[in-house]
Amino acid sequence: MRRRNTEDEQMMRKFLQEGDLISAEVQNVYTDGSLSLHTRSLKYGKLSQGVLVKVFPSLIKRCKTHFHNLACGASVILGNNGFIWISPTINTDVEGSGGFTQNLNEPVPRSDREVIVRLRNCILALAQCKMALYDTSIQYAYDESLKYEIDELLKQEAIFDLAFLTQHRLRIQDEQ
Amino acid sequence: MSFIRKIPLKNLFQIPFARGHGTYVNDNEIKASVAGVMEKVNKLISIRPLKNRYVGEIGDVVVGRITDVQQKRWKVNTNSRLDSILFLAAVNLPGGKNLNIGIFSVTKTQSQFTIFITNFSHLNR
Repeated sequence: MRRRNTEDEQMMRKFLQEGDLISAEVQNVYTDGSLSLHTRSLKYGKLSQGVLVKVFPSLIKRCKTHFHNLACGASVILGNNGFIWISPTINTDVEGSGGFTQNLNEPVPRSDREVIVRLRNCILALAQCKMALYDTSIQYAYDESLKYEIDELLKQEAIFDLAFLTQHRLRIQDEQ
Repeated sequence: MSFIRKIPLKNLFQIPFARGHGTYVNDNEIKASVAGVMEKVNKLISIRPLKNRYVGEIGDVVVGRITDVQQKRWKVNTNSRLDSILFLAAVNLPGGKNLNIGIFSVTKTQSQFTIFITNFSHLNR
């Protein structure tokens, strides 16, 4: 019954290989600064179809929850480390797999893809203007971006305009 | 809610102020060494950098990429100074909820491993 190292590793590789993306929670912080993570909840686990956006960690606002199902039709995971995962809307009632089965075969419809790409461009625009990222700011940015084509959102004027309008709308909301 | 960005500028504060992270003293003046937001607490001036590596707190949600598979743990890249560690014991495996208590072995850890093996067969990778 002796387990050899290679068998252990092959077993582990069947779950998670190099290059896989996961969502996890920080369990412990060691004295040298390194973190130990855990995925001890069904909402964490391997990520399947979606888009990863990398921003500076300081732009992610600390919130009660970092998993958001946005009204525009996509789900977003705002990692505190600056890695943001945008994916098609997750059905919250689908459970049981423990988050480790990957759904790479199911095709994502074009409309969902467009929402995801638009969200990605909005997040990058907000990040470039050093605005804090949280569910409300991303949702407002998405609403303000609808007047542009998705590829136009990569231009500088659109980015500044988007950030300005989002900031304006957030300020109005704060004042209420 | 935008940040005010400060590029390294000369600070005209004099010595009675204490300098914190992200600052240095030159010619009797406190200057910023990193681009960021200035934070002033009583007499302490420090700069919180805009572009820094992720420093983890317990309970944070992170998204990471597996960089390495080692014995009983994975190394995860989370944009911090060191790779984060994901222990095999810290992972919820498929079938974990429906653990068959009838499977038992000499030690607890070994029994967990036997359960892992029986549940691997239906995973398609």
